[in-house]
Amino acid sequence: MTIRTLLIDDEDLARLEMRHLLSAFPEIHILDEASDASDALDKIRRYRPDLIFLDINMPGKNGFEMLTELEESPHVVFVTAYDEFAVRAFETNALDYLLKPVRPERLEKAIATVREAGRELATPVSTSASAQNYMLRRDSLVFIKDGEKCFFVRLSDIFLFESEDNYVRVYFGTEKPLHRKSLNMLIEKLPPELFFRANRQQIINLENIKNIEPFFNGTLRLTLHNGMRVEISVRRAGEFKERLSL
Amino acid sequence: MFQFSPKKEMQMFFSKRQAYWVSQVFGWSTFVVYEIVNLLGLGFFSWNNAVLMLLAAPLGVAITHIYRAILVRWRVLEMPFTQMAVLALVAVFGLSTVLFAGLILVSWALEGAPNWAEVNANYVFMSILNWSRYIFVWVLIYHLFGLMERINRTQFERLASENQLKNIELQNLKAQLNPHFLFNALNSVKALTHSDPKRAGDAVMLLSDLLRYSLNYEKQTLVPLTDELAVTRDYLALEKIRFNSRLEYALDIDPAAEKWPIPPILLVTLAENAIKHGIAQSVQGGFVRISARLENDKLWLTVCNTGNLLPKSGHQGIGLDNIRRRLDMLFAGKAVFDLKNDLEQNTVTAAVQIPAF
Repeated sequence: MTIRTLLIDDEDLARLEMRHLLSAFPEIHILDEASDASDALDKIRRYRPDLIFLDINMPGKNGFEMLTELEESPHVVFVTAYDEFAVRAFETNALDYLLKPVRPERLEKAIATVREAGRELATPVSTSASAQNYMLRRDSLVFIKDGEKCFFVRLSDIFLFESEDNYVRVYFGTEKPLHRKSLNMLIEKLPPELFFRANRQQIINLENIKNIEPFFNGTLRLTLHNGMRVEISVRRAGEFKERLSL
Repeated sequence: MFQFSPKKEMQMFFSKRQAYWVSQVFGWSTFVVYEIVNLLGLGFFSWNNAVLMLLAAPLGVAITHIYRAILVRWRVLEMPFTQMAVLALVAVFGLSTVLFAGLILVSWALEGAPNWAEVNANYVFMSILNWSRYIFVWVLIYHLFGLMERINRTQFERLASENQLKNIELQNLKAQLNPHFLFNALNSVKALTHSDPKRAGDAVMLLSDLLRYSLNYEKQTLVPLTDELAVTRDYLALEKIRFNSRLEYALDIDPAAEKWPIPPILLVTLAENAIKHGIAQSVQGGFVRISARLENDKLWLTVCNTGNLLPKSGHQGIGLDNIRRRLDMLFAGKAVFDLKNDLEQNTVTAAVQIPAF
């Protein structure tokens, strides 16, 4: 199995060093390199790599800012020279990061993690997909940054999206960070077999419904697996019943 | 860092207020018991005397309590020691007089008009002296407690400020070594070891010279400009390895200026700032130009780089604050430091004028 990889770092020598270190791993296929965030965004959308090595401190947008612009994130291994802020963000998450200069053993461990995750990740490459008509899949990774906390979450693990002002609160596990995207933009990219718009404010994951009961005036009340309650508006109730009977 | 909180110290057993009232009640009741036992022992006991003593206690509490309010209002306990001691002595006699006068009025009310023939100067003076024994004890205890508290507090404050100083020193040390630069430079060197081993060796030498200088420079107050230029060149050469085509730099140094004494690490810090804000933040990169010349018996140093001062980063960082402070200290305000942004040219220029030391 090859892991299609993109290297992102603003320093030529840092990329050279990464290439050198990665030459020890035959399954790593380096597609290309990018030297800043906008270059990287172009190349990620073009190549749809499985994995990126991402420098955090870059001119223009930094690594985190770059990730928040992507609809879907590849697997990410962060690489940083010294950044207290970044390391703090990782503490709450199961993300991997490497410190420069990178130790080969540490790199091996990071790649082993990617390999592990990659078994479920092998997907056909969609080279023609532009940002507009691009659809997320159930195993797509979404990067969410809320303040100092960062999350990579698999789409199928999210059980509820809820609009909050101009953004979306995303519920998964025990977390509910704020995602800087709008609900309307999101619904167009979500796979319709998995997500359903329950009302103006909420989108639910259909696999996460524990209980359905009739409520007032033709509305329905759902209980999710985590105990949260969601109401299906009258307008949406018909379509909801249709969807479930299928 | 630990926090300075004298209040917490006082809450160990009683609150300060509680302790004060307990002492007041305990002290004055002891006085009453002592006086009555005394009267009984000497055979002078009479109910009138006993009642007088019982009334003297609350009167004493009231008078000393008012005294305490005055101490607080005038911040007497924070005055220099001798001044406070003199005031306390005056207070002892003042309070005793008031107490005595008060008791005269009380006994007048209880027993009718005193026998005026007995009230002579000697009697008044002896009575006041008699009362002053108790007041003296009260004042002594109160002022000693106040003093103790003051000593504790100043000690605490001193420790806290020492602690803060240590923290600042540590932060300065960390900022000096600039870990971000250091690890990136090491990473570049590592890359060069297989692509260009000779250059890797050169880079290690540059890095060691730079490190040695930044660990030792504090031993000297001033160094000749040439010394500082040598390390600045090392530093720029290292950054050139890292940023490659993104960094262009040039130095324009008037040979006459080379011996001029300047504070060590000054130029390196300015160059570092230029790279950090001008080059590292820009995708295309840019240039850094350093010039030095003598004019009007002053050294004019400028470091100019591409880029703009970001309006959002209101503070200019520890580095520039330190430069300002050190220049002020060394040259008694006669050195000038200035940071200018030329929006048309898209450059930022740091300029320093250093007078002769």
